[in-house]
Amino acid sequence: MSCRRLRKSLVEYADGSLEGARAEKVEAHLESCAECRQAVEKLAFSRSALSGLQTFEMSDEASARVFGTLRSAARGDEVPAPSESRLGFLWSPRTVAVAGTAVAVILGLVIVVVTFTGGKTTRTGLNPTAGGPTTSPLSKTSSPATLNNSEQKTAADLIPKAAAAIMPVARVSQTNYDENSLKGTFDKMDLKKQIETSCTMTSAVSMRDLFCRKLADMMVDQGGDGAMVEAMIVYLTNTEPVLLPYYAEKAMYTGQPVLILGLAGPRRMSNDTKLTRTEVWVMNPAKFAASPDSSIVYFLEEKSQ
Amino acid sequence: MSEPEENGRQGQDEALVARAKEGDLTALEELFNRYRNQVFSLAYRMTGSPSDAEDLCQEIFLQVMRKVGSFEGRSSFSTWLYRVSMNRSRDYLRRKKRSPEMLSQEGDPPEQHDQNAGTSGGLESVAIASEAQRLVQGALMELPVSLRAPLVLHELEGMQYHEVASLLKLPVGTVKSRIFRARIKLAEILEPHKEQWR
Repeated sequence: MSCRRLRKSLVEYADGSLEGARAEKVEAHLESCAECRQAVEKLAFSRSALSGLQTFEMSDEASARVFGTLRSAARGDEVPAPSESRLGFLWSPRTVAVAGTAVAVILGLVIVVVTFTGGKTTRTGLNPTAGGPTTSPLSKTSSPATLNNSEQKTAADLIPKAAAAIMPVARVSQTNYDENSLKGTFDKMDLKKQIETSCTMTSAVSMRDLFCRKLADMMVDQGGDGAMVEAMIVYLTNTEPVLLPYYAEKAMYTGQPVLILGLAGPRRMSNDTKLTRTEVWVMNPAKFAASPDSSIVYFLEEKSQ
Repeated sequence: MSEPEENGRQGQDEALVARAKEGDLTALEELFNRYRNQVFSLAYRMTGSPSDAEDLCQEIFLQVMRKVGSFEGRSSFSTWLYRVSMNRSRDYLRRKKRSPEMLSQEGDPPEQHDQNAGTSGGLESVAIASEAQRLVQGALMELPVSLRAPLVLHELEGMQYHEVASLLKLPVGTVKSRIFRARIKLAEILEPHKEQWR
Protein backbone atom coordinates (compact mmCIF):
# COMPACT_ATOMS: atom_id res chain seq x y z
CA MET A 1 0.00 0.00 0.00
CA SER A 2 1.36 3.44 -0.88
CA CYS A 3 1.97 6.13 1.74
CA ARG A 4 -0.52 8.41 -0.02
CA ARG A 5 -3.36 5.87 0.17
CA LEU A 6 -2.48 5.00 3.74
CA ARG A 7 -2.49 8.56 5.07
CA LYS A 8 -6.18 8.81 5.77
CA SER A 9 -6.04 5.65 7.88
CA LEU A 10 -3.04 6.82 9.87
CA VAL A 11 -5.12 9.23 11.97
CA GLU A 12 -7.43 6.42 13.06
CA TYR A 13 -4.46 4.11 13.62
CA ALA A 14 -2.67 6.67 15.80
CA ASP A 15 -5.89 7.22 17.78
CA GLY A 16 -6.26 3.46 18.30
CA SER A 17 -9.58 3.28 16.50
CA LEU A 18 -8.45 1.24 13.51
CA GLU A 19 -9.06 -2.49 13.79
CA GLY A 20 -8.87 -5.74 11.84
CA ALA A 21 -7.37 -6.13 8.41
CA ARG A 22 -6.89 -2.40 7.87
CA ALA A 23 -4.89 -2.07 11.08
CA GLU A 24 -2.74 -5.03 10.02
CA LYS A 25 -2.09 -3.45 6.64
CA VAL A 26 -1.00 -0.22 8.31
CA GLU A 27 1.29 -2.07 10.72
CA ALA A 28 2.89 -4.00 7.86
CA HIS A 29 3.51 -0.75 6.00
CA LEU A 30 4.92 1.00 9.06
CA GLU A 31 7.57 -1.69 9.48
CA SER A 32 9.12 -0.66 6.21
CA CYS A 33 8.34 3.09 6.09
CA ALA A 34 10.18 5.44 8.44
CA GLU A 35 8.29 8.48 7.12
CA CYS A 36 4.90 7.05 8.03
CA ARG A 37 6.23 5.90 11.43
CA GLN A 38 7.25 9.47 12.09
CA ALA A 39 3.82 10.69 10.97
CA VAL A 40 2.16 8.30 13.43
CA GLU A 41 4.34 9.69 16.24
CA LYS A 42 3.29 13.23 15.33
CA LEU A 43 -0.36 12.25 15.14
CA ALA A 44 -0.18 10.57 18.55
CA PHE A 45 1.47 13.67 20.00
CA SER A 46 -1.17 15.96 18.55
CA ARG A 47 -3.88 13.68 19.97
CA SER A 48 -2.36 13.99 23.41
CA ALA A 49 -2.08 17.78 23.09
CA LEU A 50 -5.65 18.20 21.85
CA SER A 51 -7.14 15.89 24.44
CA GLY A 52 -6.07 18.26 27.23
CA LEU A 53 -8.17 21.10 25.87
CA GLN A 54 -11.22 21.89 27.94
CA THR A 55 -14.56 23.28 26.92
CA PHE A 56 -14.86 27.01 27.38
CA GLU A 57 -17.97 28.59 28.75
CA MET A 58 -19.39 32.00 28.06
CA SER A 59 -19.31 34.13 31.20
CA ASP A 60 -22.61 35.34 32.64
CA GLU A 61 -21.60 38.93 31.89
CA ALA A 62 -20.85 38.15 28.25
CA SER A 63 -24.11 36.18 27.95
CA ALA A 64 -26.05 39.11 29.36
CA ARG A 65 -24.37 41.51 26.90
CA VAL A 66 -25.01 39.30 23.88
CA PHE A 67 -28.59 38.46 24.79
CA GLY A 68 -29.23 42.14 25.55
CA THR A 69 -28.20 42.90 21.98
CA LEU A 70 -30.46 40.15 20.66
CA ARG A 71 -33.36 41.55 22.66
CA SER A 72 -32.71 45.04 21.27
CA ALA A 73 -32.57 43.66 17.75
CA ALA A 74 -35.83 41.78 18.28
CA ARG A 75 -37.46 45.05 19.35
CA GLY A 76 -36.17 46.67 16.19
CA ASP A 77 -33.69 48.91 17.98
CA GLU A 78 -30.47 49.78 16.24
CA VAL A 79 -27.96 47.05 17.02
CA PRO A 80 -24.49 48.23 18.01
CA ALA A 81 -21.50 46.75 16.25
CA PRO A 82 -20.23 43.84 18.35
CA SER A 83 -17.32 45.58 20.00
CA GLU A 84 -19.34 48.70 20.78
CA SER A 85 -20.82 46.94 23.76
CA ARG A 86 -17.35 46.99 25.28
CA LEU A 87 -16.57 50.70 25.25
CA GLY A 88 -13.18 50.12 26.74
CA PHE A 89 -12.05 48.63 23.46
CA LEU A 90 -13.13 51.70 21.52
CA TRP A 91 -10.96 53.95 23.62
CA SER A 92 -8.00 51.66 24.01
CA PRO A 93 -4.66 53.33 23.15
CA ARG A 94 -4.17 51.00 20.20
CA THR A 95 -7.57 51.81 18.68
CA VAL A 96 -7.00 55.52 19.11
CA ALA A 97 -3.55 55.21 17.56
CA VAL A 98 -4.87 53.24 14.59
CA ALA A 99 -7.74 55.70 14.09
CA GLY A 100 -5.35 58.65 14.35
CA THR A 101 -3.00 57.15 11.80
CA ALA A 102 -5.88 56.43 9.43
CA VAL A 103 -7.17 60.00 9.68
CA ALA A 104 -3.67 61.36 9.09
CA VAL A 105 -3.19 59.17 6.00
CA ILE A 106 -6.57 60.15 4.57
CA LEU A 107 -5.92 63.87 5.20
CA GLY A 108 -2.50 63.51 3.60
CA LEU A 109 -3.99 61.91 0.50
CA VAL A 110 -6.65 64.61 0.22
CA ILE A 111 -4.01 67.34 0.47
CA VAL A 112 -1.84 65.66 -2.18
CA VAL A 113 -4.76 65.21 -4.58
CA VAL A 114 -5.99 68.79 -4.09
CA THR A 115 -2.46 70.15 -4.52
CA PHE A 116 -1.85 68.34 -7.79
CA THR A 117 -5.29 68.84 -9.33
CA GLY A 118 -6.20 72.26 -8.12
CA GLY A 119 -9.25 70.75 -6.50
CA LYS A 120 -10.67 69.28 -9.74
CA THR A 121 -12.24 65.87 -9.63
CA THR A 122 -9.75 63.26 -10.68
CA ARG A 123 -9.49 59.49 -10.95
CA THR A 124 -6.91 58.42 -8.44
CA GLY A 125 -7.62 54.72 -8.38
CA LEU A 126 -8.65 55.13 -4.77
CA ASN A 127 -12.31 54.84 -4.01
CA PRO A 128 -12.93 56.66 -0.75
CA THR A 129 -16.41 55.20 -0.39
CA ALA A 130 -15.41 51.62 -0.89
CA GLY A 131 -13.29 50.89 2.13
CA GLY A 132 -9.63 51.06 3.04
CA PRO A 133 -6.41 50.44 1.25
CA THR A 134 -7.05 46.70 1.03
CA THR A 135 -9.88 47.26 -1.46
CA SER A 136 -8.76 46.49 -4.96
CA PRO A 137 -9.01 49.41 -7.36
CA LEU A 138 -10.66 46.96 -9.71
CA SER A 139 -13.54 46.30 -7.38
CA LYS A 140 -15.29 49.60 -7.67
CA THR A 141 -18.58 48.87 -6.00
CA SER A 142 -21.48 50.61 -4.48
CA SER A 143 -23.30 49.28 -1.50
CA PRO A 144 -27.07 48.96 -1.76
CA ALA A 145 -27.42 51.80 0.73
CA THR A 146 -25.52 54.24 -1.45
CA LEU A 147 -26.73 53.17 -4.86
CA ASN A 148 -29.80 54.93 -6.22
CA ASN A 149 -31.56 54.06 -9.43
CA SER A 150 -29.85 56.68 -11.56
CA GLU A 151 -26.47 55.52 -10.33
CA GLN A 152 -27.03 51.84 -11.02
CA LYS A 153 -24.52 50.51 -13.50
CA THR A 154 -24.02 47.12 -14.95
CA ALA A 155 -21.09 45.03 -13.83
CA ALA A 156 -19.39 45.62 -17.18
CA ASP A 157 -19.41 49.39 -16.62
CA LEU A 158 -17.71 49.01 -13.29
CA ILE A 159 -14.68 47.13 -14.54
CA PRO A 160 -11.82 49.35 -15.72
CA LYS A 161 -11.19 49.22 -19.43
CA ALA A 162 -7.50 48.54 -19.16
CA ALA A 163 -6.65 46.43 -16.18
CA ALA A 164 -2.96 46.04 -15.52
CA ALA A 165 -3.40 42.50 -14.23
CA ILE A 166 -6.16 39.95 -14.13
CA MET A 167 -8.02 40.27 -10.86
CA PRO A 168 -11.36 38.79 -9.86
CA VAL A 169 -14.27 41.11 -9.18
CA ALA A 170 -16.87 40.86 -6.45
CA ARG A 171 -19.64 43.33 -5.83
CA VAL A 172 -22.92 43.88 -4.08
CA SER A 173 -25.61 45.62 -6.10
CA GLN A 174 -29.34 46.09 -6.31
CA THR A 175 -29.40 45.26 -10.01
CA ASN A 176 -32.38 43.10 -10.89
CA TYR A 177 -31.14 40.91 -13.72
CA ASP A 178 -33.08 38.78 -16.11
CA GLU A 179 -31.85 36.37 -18.77
CA ASN A 180 -31.10 39.07 -21.34
CA SER A 181 -29.52 41.68 -19.10
CA LEU A 182 -27.33 39.04 -17.47
CA LYS A 183 -26.11 37.80 -20.83
CA GLY A 184 -25.51 41.36 -22.02
CA THR A 185 -23.49 42.14 -18.92
CA PHE A 186 -21.15 39.23 -19.39
CA ASP A 187 -20.91 39.78 -23.15
CA LYS A 188 -19.66 43.31 -22.53
CA MET A 189 -17.39 42.45 -19.62
CA ASP A 190 -13.77 43.36 -20.32
CA LEU A 191 -12.54 41.04 -17.59
CA LYS A 192 -14.15 38.08 -19.35
CA LYS A 193 -12.40 39.05 -22.58
CA GLN A 194 -9.06 39.50 -20.84
CA ILE A 195 -9.32 36.06 -19.29
CA GLU A 196 -10.30 34.52 -22.64
CA THR A 197 -7.23 35.93 -24.31
CA SER A 198 -4.61 35.63 -21.62
CA CYS A 199 -5.43 32.66 -19.38
CA THR A 200 -5.01 28.98 -20.12
CA MET A 201 -6.23 25.82 -18.45
CA THR A 202 -2.94 25.63 -16.54
CA SER A 203 -3.44 29.11 -15.11
CA ALA A 204 -7.03 28.22 -14.18
CA VAL A 205 -5.81 25.23 -12.17
CA SER A 206 -3.12 27.23 -10.40
CA MET A 207 -5.23 30.36 -9.78
CA ARG A 208 -8.55 28.74 -8.86
CA ASP A 209 -8.07 28.61 -5.08
CA LEU A 210 -6.49 32.06 -4.96
CA PHE A 211 -9.36 33.63 -6.94
CA CYS A 212 -11.90 31.79 -4.82
CA ARG A 213 -10.41 33.19 -1.61
CA LYS A 214 -10.04 36.63 -3.17
CA LEU A 215 -13.67 36.72 -4.26
CA ALA A 216 -14.80 35.62 -0.80
CA ASP A 217 -12.60 38.26 0.87
CA MET A 218 -13.86 40.98 -1.47
CA MET A 219 -17.47 39.97 -0.86
CA VAL A 220 -16.94 40.18 2.89
CA ASP A 221 -15.38 43.63 2.50
CA GLN A 222 -18.63 44.76 0.93
CA GLY A 223 -20.82 43.28 3.63
CA GLY A 224 -21.73 40.14 1.67
CA ASP A 225 -21.47 36.51 2.68
CA GLY A 226 -17.95 35.42 1.72
CA ALA A 227 -18.28 31.93 3.12
CA MET A 228 -21.32 31.37 0.91
CA VAL A 229 -19.38 32.54 -2.17
CA GLU A 230 -16.56 30.17 -1.28
CA ALA A 231 -18.88 27.23 -0.59
CA MET A 232 -20.67 27.75 -3.91
CA ILE A 233 -17.40 27.96 -5.86
CA VAL A 234 -16.12 24.81 -4.15
CA TYR A 235 -19.38 23.09 -5.08
CA LEU A 236 -19.19 24.26 -8.71
CA THR A 237 -15.52 23.48 -9.26
CA ASN A 238 -15.12 20.39 -7.12
CA THR A 239 -15.61 17.98 -9.97
CA GLU A 240 -14.18 20.35 -12.56
CA PRO A 241 -11.05 21.98 -11.12
CA VAL A 242 -10.17 23.58 -14.47
CA LEU A 243 -12.74 26.34 -14.00
CA LEU A 244 -11.47 29.76 -12.96
CA PRO A 245 -13.92 31.70 -10.78
CA TYR A 246 -13.53 35.37 -11.61
CA TYR A 247 -16.77 37.15 -10.81
CA ALA A 248 -19.23 37.18 -7.92
CA GLU A 249 -22.14 39.51 -7.45
CA LYS A 250 -24.81 39.65 -4.82
CA ALA A 251 -27.81 40.97 -6.70
CA MET A 252 -31.38 40.13 -7.70
CA TYR A 253 -32.57 37.88 -10.49
CA THR A 254 -36.18 38.34 -11.58
CA GLY A 255 -36.99 39.66 -8.14
CA GLN A 256 -35.25 37.12 -5.91
CA PRO A 257 -31.99 37.63 -4.01
CA VAL A 258 -29.19 35.64 -5.64
CA LEU A 259 -25.47 35.25 -5.97
CA ILE A 260 -24.18 35.39 -9.52
CA LEU A 261 -20.92 33.58 -10.18
CA GLY A 262 -18.88 33.82 -13.36
CA LEU A 263 -16.36 31.11 -14.20
CA ALA A 264 -14.09 30.63 -17.20
CA GLY A 265 -13.09 27.24 -18.52
CA PRO A 266 -11.37 25.61 -21.49
CA ARG A 267 -13.34 24.05 -24.33
CA ARG A 268 -11.16 20.95 -24.30
CA MET A 269 -8.77 19.40 -21.80
CA SER A 270 -5.35 20.61 -22.76
CA ASN A 271 -2.92 22.61 -20.64
CA ASP A 272 -2.42 25.43 -23.11
CA THR A 273 -6.08 25.77 -24.11
CA LYS A 274 -7.43 29.28 -23.62
CA LEU A 275 -10.37 29.82 -21.29
CA THR A 276 -12.94 30.59 -23.97
CA ARG A 277 -15.89 28.94 -22.28
CA THR A 278 -17.93 31.03 -19.85
CA GLU A 279 -20.24 29.64 -17.21
CA VAL A 280 -22.59 31.95 -15.34
CA TRP A 281 -24.39 30.46 -12.36
CA VAL A 282 -27.26 32.24 -10.66
CA MET A 283 -27.82 30.67 -7.26
CA ASN A 284 -30.16 31.17 -4.38
CA PRO A 285 -28.11 31.38 -1.15
CA ALA A 286 -31.15 30.72 1.05
CA LYS A 287 -31.53 27.28 -0.51
CA PHE A 288 -27.88 26.39 -0.89
CA ALA A 289 -27.30 25.06 2.62
CA ALA A 290 -30.20 22.63 2.37
CA SER A 291 -29.56 21.48 -1.18
CA PRO A 292 -26.93 22.96 -3.52
CA ASP A 293 -28.57 21.39 -6.56
CA SER A 294 -31.93 22.98 -5.86
CA SER A 295 -30.32 26.37 -5.26
CA ILE A 296 -29.49 26.84 -8.95
CA VAL A 297 -31.83 29.48 -10.35
CA TYR A 298 -30.33 29.92 -13.81
CA PHE A 299 -27.32 28.71 -15.75
CA LEU A 300 -25.76 30.31 -18.80
CA GLU A 301 -22.95 28.87 -20.88
CA GLU A 302 -21.22 30.62 -23.74
CA LYS A 303 -18.34 29.56 -25.97
CA SER A 304 -16.24 32.09 -27.82
CA GLN A 305 -14.22 31.34 -30.92
CA MET B 1 -25.76 11.79 25.03
CA SER B 2 -27.86 8.64 24.40
CA GLU B 3 -30.06 8.37 21.34
CA PRO B 4 -33.37 8.87 23.20
CA GLU B 5 -31.89 11.91 24.98
CA GLU B 6 -30.67 13.28 21.65
CA ASN B 7 -34.11 12.75 20.07
CA GLY B 8 -35.75 14.42 23.05
CA ARG B 9 -33.44 17.40 22.76
CA GLN B 10 -34.11 17.68 19.04
CA GLY B 11 -37.85 17.60 19.69
CA GLN B 12 -37.51 20.38 22.25
CA ASP B 13 -35.37 22.38 19.81
CA GLU B 14 -38.02 22.03 17.12
CA ALA B 15 -40.70 23.30 19.45
CA LEU B 16 -38.52 26.24 20.48
CA VAL B 17 -37.67 27.04 16.86
CA ALA B 18 -41.37 27.02 15.95
CA ARG B 19 -42.05 29.50 18.75
CA ALA B 20 -39.02 31.62 17.82
CA LYS B 21 -40.34 31.84 14.26
CA GLU B 22 -43.50 33.40 15.69
CA GLY B 23 -41.36 36.03 17.38
CA ASP B 24 -41.40 34.49 20.87
CA LEU B 25 -38.39 36.02 22.59
CA THR B 26 -38.43 33.56 25.49
CA ALA B 27 -38.03 30.69 23.00
CA LEU B 28 -35.06 32.47 21.47
CA GLU B 29 -33.61 33.00 24.92
CA GLU B 30 -34.01 29.31 25.69
CA LEU B 31 -32.22 28.38 22.45
CA PHE B 32 -29.49 30.88 23.27
CA ASN B 33 -29.03 29.42 26.75
CA ARG B 34 -28.95 25.88 25.39
CA TYR B 35 -26.27 26.55 22.81
CA ARG B 36 -24.36 29.62 23.94
CA ASN B 37 -21.47 27.63 25.46
CA GLN B 38 -21.08 25.38 22.43
CA VAL B 39 -21.12 28.36 20.09
CA PHE B 40 -18.78 30.33 22.32
CA SER B 41 -16.34 27.44 22.60
CA LEU B 42 -16.30 26.97 18.82
CA ALA B 43 -15.89 30.74 18.33
CA TYR B 44 -13.01 30.79 20.79
CA ARG B 45 -11.27 27.89 19.06
CA MET B 46 -11.62 29.67 15.72
CA THR B 47 -10.61 33.17 16.84
CA GLY B 48 -8.27 32.49 19.77
CA SER B 49 -9.55 35.40 21.86
CA PRO B 50 -12.42 35.65 24.34
CA SER B 51 -13.46 39.11 23.18
CA ASP B 52 -13.46 38.08 19.52
CA ALA B 53 -15.40 34.96 20.49
CA GLU B 54 -18.01 37.14 22.19
CA ASP B 55 -18.30 39.41 19.15
CA LEU B 56 -18.60 36.40 16.92
CA CYS B 57 -21.23 34.81 19.18
CA GLN B 58 -23.26 37.97 18.92
CA GLU B 59 -23.02 37.90 15.12
CA ILE B 60 -23.96 34.23 15.04
CA PHE B 61 -27.03 34.55 17.26
CA LEU B 62 -28.16 37.71 15.45
CA GLN B 63 -27.93 35.76 12.21
CA VAL B 64 -29.88 32.90 13.79
CA MET B 65 -32.56 35.30 14.95
CA ARG B 66 -32.84 36.89 11.51
CA LYS B 67 -32.78 33.63 9.57
CA VAL B 68 -34.73 31.32 11.82
CA GLY B 69 -37.82 32.06 9.74
CA SER B 70 -36.17 30.45 6.71
CA PHE B 71 -34.99 27.38 8.68
CA GLU B 72 -37.00 24.57 7.12
CA GLY B 73 -35.97 21.81 9.50
CA ARG B 74 -34.31 19.61 6.88
CA SER B 75 -31.42 19.20 9.28
CA SER B 76 -31.46 19.42 13.06
CA PHE B 77 -31.33 22.88 14.57
CA SER B 78 -27.89 22.17 16.04
CA THR B 79 -26.49 21.20 12.61
CA TRP B 80 -27.93 24.37 11.13
CA LEU B 81 -26.53 26.40 14.00
CA TYR B 82 -23.07 24.90 13.45
CA ARG B 83 -23.30 25.77 9.77
CA VAL B 84 -24.24 29.36 10.54
CA SER B 85 -21.44 29.47 13.14
CA MET B 86 -18.78 28.20 10.76
CA ASN B 87 -19.85 30.55 7.97
CA ARG B 88 -19.87 33.54 10.28
CA SER B 89 -16.51 32.47 11.74
CA ARG B 90 -14.89 32.34 8.34
CA ASP B 91 -16.32 35.72 7.39
CA TYR B 92 -15.25 37.18 10.73
CA LEU B 93 -11.70 35.92 10.27
CA ARG B 94 -11.61 37.28 6.73
CA ARG B 95 -12.70 40.71 7.89
CA LYS B 96 -10.16 40.56 10.68
CA LYS B 97 -7.40 39.61 8.29
CA ARG B 98 -8.33 42.51 6.03
CA SER B 99 -8.65 45.01 8.89
CA PRO B 100 -5.91 44.42 11.45
CA GLU B 101 -7.35 47.21 13.60
CA MET B 102 -10.22 44.83 14.31
CA LEU B 103 -7.78 42.72 16.28
CA SER B 104 -9.04 42.34 19.76
CA GLN B 105 -7.21 43.05 22.94
CA GLU B 106 -5.62 40.07 24.53
CA GLY B 107 -7.79 39.20 27.46
CA ASP B 108 -7.85 36.64 30.18
CA PRO B 109 -8.84 33.22 28.94
CA PRO B 110 -12.53 32.54 29.34
CA GLU B 111 -13.92 30.38 32.09
CA GLN B 112 -12.98 26.75 31.67
CA HIS B 113 -15.35 23.96 32.25
CA ASP B 114 -13.25 21.35 34.01
CA GLN B 115 -15.19 18.39 35.23
CA ASN B 116 -12.24 17.37 37.40
CA ALA B 117 -11.86 20.77 39.01
CA GLY B 118 -10.94 20.43 42.63
CA THR B 119 -9.70 16.88 42.31
CA SER B 120 -6.47 17.47 40.40
CA GLY B 121 -3.04 17.80 41.93
CA GLY B 122 -3.03 21.35 43.23
CA LEU B 123 -2.05 24.75 41.87
CA GLU B 124 1.09 23.62 40.07
CA SER B 125 -0.69 21.07 37.89
CA VAL B 126 -3.43 23.61 37.14
CA ALA B 127 -0.76 26.10 36.03
CA ILE B 128 0.92 23.48 33.81
CA ALA B 129 -2.41 22.47 32.29
CA SER B 130 -3.22 26.12 31.65
CA GLU B 131 0.13 26.73 29.94
CA ALA B 132 -0.35 23.61 27.81
CA GLN B 133 -3.79 24.82 26.76
CA ARG B 134 -2.42 28.23 25.88
CA LEU B 135 0.23 26.59 23.70
CA VAL B 136 -2.28 24.36 21.93
CA GLN B 137 -4.66 27.26 21.33
CA GLY B 138 -1.74 29.30 19.96
CA ALA B 139 -0.80 26.42 17.67
CA LEU B 140 -4.41 26.15 16.47
CA MET B 141 -4.31 29.81 15.53
CA GLU B 142 -1.22 29.22 13.40
CA LEU B 143 -3.12 26.74 11.24
CA PRO B 144 -4.84 28.14 8.17
CA VAL B 145 -8.62 28.31 8.55
CA SER B 146 -9.03 25.61 5.91
CA LEU B 147 -7.23 23.16 8.24
CA ARG B 148 -8.36 24.62 11.57
CA ALA B 149 -12.09 24.38 10.82
CA PRO B 150 -12.25 20.62 10.12
CA LEU B 151 -9.84 19.91 12.96
CA VAL B 152 -11.90 21.85 15.50
CA LEU B 153 -15.18 20.34 14.34
CA HIS B 154 -13.89 16.75 14.37
CA GLU B 155 -11.41 16.69 17.21
CA LEU B 156 -12.90 19.21 19.60
CA GLU B 157 -16.61 19.28 18.76
CA GLY B 158 -16.73 15.52 18.31
CA MET B 159 -18.33 15.50 14.87
CA GLN B 160 -18.04 12.51 12.55
CA TYR B 161 -16.13 12.92 9.30
CA HIS B 162 -19.32 12.86 7.22
CA GLU B 163 -20.90 15.52 9.42
CA VAL B 164 -17.88 17.79 9.01
CA ALA B 165 -17.93 17.12 5.26
CA SER B 166 -21.59 18.05 5.03
CA LEU B 167 -21.11 21.17 7.12
CA LEU B 168 -18.10 22.45 5.19
CA LYS B 169 -19.38 21.25 1.81
CA LEU B 170 -16.27 19.17 1.21
CA PRO B 171 -15.84 15.53 0.19
CA VAL B 172 -15.21 13.18 3.14
CA GLY B 173 -11.79 12.28 1.71
CA THR B 174 -10.78 15.94 1.67
CA VAL B 175 -11.90 16.33 5.29
CA LYS B 176 -9.81 13.33 6.35
CA SER B 177 -6.79 14.55 4.49
CA ARG B 178 -7.11 18.07 5.95
CA ILE B 179 -7.38 16.68 9.46
CA PHE B 180 -4.28 14.57 8.83
CA ARG B 181 -2.37 17.64 7.63
CA ALA B 182 -3.70 19.77 10.49
CA ARG B 183 -2.57 17.31 13.15
CA ILE B 184 0.87 16.85 11.63
CA LYS B 185 1.27 20.62 11.42
CA LEU B 186 0.02 21.05 14.99
CA ALA B 187 2.57 18.51 16.24
CA GLU B 188 5.35 20.29 14.38
CA ILE B 189 4.37 23.67 15.86
CA LEU B 190 4.24 22.21 19.39
CA GLU B 191 7.44 20.16 19.01
CA PRO B 192 9.65 22.68 20.90
CA HIS B 193 7.27 22.46 23.89
CA LYS B 194 6.85 18.70 23.85
CA GLU B 195 7.96 18.31 27.48
CA GLN B 196 4.64 19.88 28.56
CA TRP B 197 2.86 16.65 27.65
CA ARG B 198 5.34 14.18 29.10
